[in-house]
Amino acid sequence: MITIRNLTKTYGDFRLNISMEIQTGRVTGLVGRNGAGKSTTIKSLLGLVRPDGGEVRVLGKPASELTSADRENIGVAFSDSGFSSYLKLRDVVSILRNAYPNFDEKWFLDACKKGRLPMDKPLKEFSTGMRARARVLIACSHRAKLLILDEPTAGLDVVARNEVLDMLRDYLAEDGERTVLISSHISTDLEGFCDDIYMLHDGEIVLHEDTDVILGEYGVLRLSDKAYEQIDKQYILKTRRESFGYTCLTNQRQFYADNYPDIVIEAGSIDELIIMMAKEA
Amino acid sequence: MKGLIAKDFAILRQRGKIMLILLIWGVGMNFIMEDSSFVVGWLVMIATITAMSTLSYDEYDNCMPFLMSLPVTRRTYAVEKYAFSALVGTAAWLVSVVLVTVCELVIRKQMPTAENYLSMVIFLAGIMIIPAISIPPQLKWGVEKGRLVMIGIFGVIAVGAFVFSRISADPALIAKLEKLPLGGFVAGTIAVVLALTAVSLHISVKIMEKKEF
Repeated sequence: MITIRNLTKTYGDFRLNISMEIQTGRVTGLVGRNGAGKSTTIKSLLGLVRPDGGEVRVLGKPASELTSADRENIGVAFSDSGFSSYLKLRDVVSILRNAYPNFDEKWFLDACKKGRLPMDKPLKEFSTGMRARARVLIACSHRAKLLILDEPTAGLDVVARNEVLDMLRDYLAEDGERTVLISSHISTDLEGFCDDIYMLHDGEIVLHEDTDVILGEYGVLRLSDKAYEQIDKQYILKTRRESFGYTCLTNQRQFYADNYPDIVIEAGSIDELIIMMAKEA
Repeated sequence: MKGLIAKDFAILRQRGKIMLILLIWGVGMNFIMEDSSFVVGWLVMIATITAMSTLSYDEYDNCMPFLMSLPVTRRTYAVEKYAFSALVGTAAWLVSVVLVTVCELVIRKQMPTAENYLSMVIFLAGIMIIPAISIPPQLKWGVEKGRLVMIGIFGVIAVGAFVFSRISADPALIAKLEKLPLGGFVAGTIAVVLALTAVSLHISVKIMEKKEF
């Protein structure tokens, strides 16, 4: 569905240099700190920025050659861009009806009603959560094969975030072929939602792994200086010096649990991964 | 294209009250002004500028990344801005021509002359230059900076026209110009406006195709 090979893009001191592949029917998360390159990656996929080099293919063709008809198969939501806030959802319905031949008006109206989104209120009077829900519903409204969502839960409280993710789960449940690329710096959102995770740091992919593997097999070891000297380091991915000794990231948590029962081992989480991968040893 | 036009009409509706006030003002002007074609020109100009203000709305909320993700090409976006300005300007022209005709019939108990109508056509064509001059700089530098560039361009045109009028203040030349048939003058104006719009559109498409969002 999406192929990126050696995509490069430079902004001043920042340089994005990544490759990734997203298969049909998968939900892929793009995580990383603010400024890691998530939005630039997504904008490259949508042809909004021109790569300096490399190849970006979406729906089987170069992103720069996507036609209007191709874009009908893509649903997009940004955290900081959408329709003018002076418009009402009633206006948005009229726009979508004219823009997308596959716009499912009944589904959209029902979903807005279910999501308590008023049709006759300007978007600027919506709460942050309401705007986020509206943006995701707009992205889903034309039954797109591919959803590209850039930080759709940014700035939302935990309840609002869950509402947005539930809407996306419902959308995916309708058709197993639908594909989603979602970026977020809130890792817990992605842990229960994505099949696999790409982690970006300083413009590079530092990790790509299935979410189940991250949660089931990755772990963080808290080690004294002595314990650190003694353990087998072949499954240690990253090490960080601490006041008490060392913190180590491993992708073989069970190996250390079986062979070193006395050391402190914490289950893997995307937050821990970001902290470990982002910080220098 | 249809989606973008629907969006711009929805934005235009936000300014419906202002448009209504301007329409009422236009009716009032008919009672005062001797030359009814002025009212047509004024209303069409306001309508065209209002139509182009949709560019500000697109820019104001950082809408462009999202709009360029809709099923439209960059070329379509540029073409739509010209088409929408022309559509709204022409609609305003038709409304104002009907308005002026009705007002003439009511106030002066007579139809506007054929010459009046040809003047109104010149106004329509002349005002259509506004999008051609102002859209490319607004797309290139954004609405705020683009407006400054646009004011600069109009300033240059005004100075150029003033200098030209001084240089060519030859009574013989003026007499020649006055003898030009009005129909030919109208056709010439339309041709110039169309050519200018084509060049402007080409520039706008190139600007959009190079732009990053």
